[in-house]
Amino acid sequence: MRVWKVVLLVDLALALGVGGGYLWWAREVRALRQELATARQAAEARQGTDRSWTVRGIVRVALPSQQALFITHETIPELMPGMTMGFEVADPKLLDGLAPGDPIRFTLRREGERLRVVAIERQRG
Amino acid sequence: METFGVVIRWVHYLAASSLVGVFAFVVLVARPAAAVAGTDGVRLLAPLDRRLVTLARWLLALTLASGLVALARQATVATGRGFAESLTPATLGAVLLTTQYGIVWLVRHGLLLLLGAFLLLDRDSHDGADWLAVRLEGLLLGGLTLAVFAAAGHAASAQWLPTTAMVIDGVHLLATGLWFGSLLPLAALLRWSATLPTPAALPVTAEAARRFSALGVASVAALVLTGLYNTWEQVGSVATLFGTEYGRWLCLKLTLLVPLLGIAALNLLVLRPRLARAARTGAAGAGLANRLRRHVIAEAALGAAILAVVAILGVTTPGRHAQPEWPFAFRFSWQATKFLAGVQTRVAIGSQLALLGLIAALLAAIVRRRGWRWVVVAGAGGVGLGLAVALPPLAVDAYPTTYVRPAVPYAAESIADGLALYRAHCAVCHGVSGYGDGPAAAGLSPRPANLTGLHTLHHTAGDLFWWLVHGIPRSAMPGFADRLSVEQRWDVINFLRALAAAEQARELGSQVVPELGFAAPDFTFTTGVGEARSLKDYRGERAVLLVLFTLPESAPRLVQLSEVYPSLRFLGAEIVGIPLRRPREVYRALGSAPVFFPIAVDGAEEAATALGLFRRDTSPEGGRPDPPLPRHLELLVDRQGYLRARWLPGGEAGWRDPAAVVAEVERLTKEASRAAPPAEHVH
Repeated sequence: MRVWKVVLLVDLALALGVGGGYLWWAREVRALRQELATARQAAEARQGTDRSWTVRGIVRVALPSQQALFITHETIPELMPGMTMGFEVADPKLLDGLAPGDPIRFTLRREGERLRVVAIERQRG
Repeated sequence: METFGVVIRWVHYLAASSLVGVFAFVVLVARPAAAVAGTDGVRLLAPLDRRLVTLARWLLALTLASGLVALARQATVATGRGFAESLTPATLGAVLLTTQYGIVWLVRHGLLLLLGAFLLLDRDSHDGADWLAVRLEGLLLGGLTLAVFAAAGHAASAQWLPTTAMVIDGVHLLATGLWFGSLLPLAALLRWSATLPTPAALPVTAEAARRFSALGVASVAALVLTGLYNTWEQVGSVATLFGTEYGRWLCLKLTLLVPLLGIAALNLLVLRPRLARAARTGAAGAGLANRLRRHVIAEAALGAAILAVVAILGVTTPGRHAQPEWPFAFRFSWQATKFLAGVQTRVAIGSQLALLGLIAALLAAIVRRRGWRWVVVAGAGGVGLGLAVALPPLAVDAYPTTYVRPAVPYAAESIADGLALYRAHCAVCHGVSGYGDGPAAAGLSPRPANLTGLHTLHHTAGDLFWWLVHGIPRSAMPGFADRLSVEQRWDVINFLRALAAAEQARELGSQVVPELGFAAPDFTFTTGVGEARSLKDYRGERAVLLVLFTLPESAPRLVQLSEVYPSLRFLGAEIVGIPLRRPREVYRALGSAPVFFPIAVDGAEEAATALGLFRRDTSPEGGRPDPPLPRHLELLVDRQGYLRARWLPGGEAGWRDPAAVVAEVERLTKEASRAAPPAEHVH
């Protein structure tokens, strides 16, 4: 075979190898990403309905008559960043003796769409 | 070891860049030039062509050998041990397969081996297609191995657009190879063409010179453009160009480049036209060709020296990442001198003179009417004279630390520490207010500086650092090297920066004014629970209204702001409350007042101290040199991190109606101009 044909074939093989490899790799990455997204969705769906968190917070305003408690709280993983907001309380008795500024640990339970504080534990301030 | 690493790099650069040049030269210069003399010329070219291919084989062998040694050296660098311990299959495998250097090495040397195989195939091919295929392949593979090198150099770790930096560096390397690598082959060709039969010799030489010029001009243009980008990318400033080791080596490289470009210009503008004329008229040109050959060899020597500097640069930390140490006792600053008498006039006259001289010289050099050389000389003189008029008034004192980057960021904690240190060490002379009116100031000559003036902002942070360490000669200012640690000196400087900014910020009112803003000191806080946040985190995301307050009197205002909080959030803004007193008690003190925006608890004291500096305004109360800390102060920080508006209750109506704050935030959101966010450190 003539040398120029060898050169041409090898170059062609190189270009095809690199280009094809790149395209194959891109397809592979896309597939992997998709798989990851599906898995993540599935995981979210699994824990989507019923779940509970126990996090730290500071009592801001307690409203026993409306079964509500406003808390400045830390990040609630996979639910919301730290902020000040009101939550429904499962039992107004939980609010007994709570005053603004009290540091607490509270348990938040999600049942379906409903989000409620089900337990409050006072911390030493 | 270091010297050894540099030498091996140098050899590798020399061989790898020459390799691509040889093939480029054969395909683009030698063969077409020989063709000028017809089929005879091409036939006579064969011995030279063989020699060049042999040279390429040797260069390839040298590239591979030096590459192997460089790999071994890299392994010793990775393990930090000697050759014997490092050259194990495990270490070499790890370096080759898990590091960027190793992967690039594998790709490059794989391509080189492939090229080696083709060069072995090239026995005695005189056939057109085979001949061309092997040499083009050499150009292609040699060029690829050279360009891919960029992926293992400094460009690959560029902070800004690393891909662009790599591509540009790759072009730079390729252009180096095309130009530098074809110099010695050109010298060989010039010797060969002198042996050609007389009628053919000169036309072939002239054609080779013409073709090489085209290759050279294109390569040099690419080298200059990509080199400028690389310099900006790796060095970034005049301070680092002159003040760091990397920058100084780069200066040496540029200095070596000047004679190289001079010779190239001489060849291009003088020798090549004469050769062409001699070839046309049939005059004797052997002397010209010889002179060109000597020039080309000198160029190659200079190029090799430049590559040696490049090898050193490759193992030196880029200037951008090193602390610059300014080597001169002066620097030029328009900012710091423009207010001085006569400076503006002299700079205006000098710059116009220099510009006129430059234009005249350029025009004369392009048009080339009779006597143009004199005009060029006069123009150059005008440029020199203009610079001599304009530059001296711009010079201000500079010190080795002038461009040093502060070790401590411009943040509340540092400013608060700086304030305490200032009160302890500086206030006795410079005054609590910073006006240079301390109790000890009266007896001093010269008077202690007013640290709140605009001039404070015109000295670099590094200037202040130098004075804090060494004092100021012929004044009462002592050095504090034995009393303040390095960190404490930066704390004082950060405080002084905040103080001077606060003084300039007196004019800040309750309405946002375009182009008026001051870098807000950063601060870090928690709301008493959960993770820490910084003001900086809101950059590019939200404008922030900082509310410095005192309970109980601020409580109604906080409730009021809480009512407009949803509107502000909707506009993309955040409110952060900062208690001026007893932050730990803030929630208890607020009681059941409905306030829903975040309030700083941890970090509130430092934030209050630093931001409280910005209480100086133009009102009768706040206009005093050092007004008392107010009970309530609101500061509006824009999305870029600049302090843009301020309200102190008591004076003007301002933001008393919270709708006015909402209106200002809305104005910020509509602002078109986007200043770059302030730097993390003062400068």
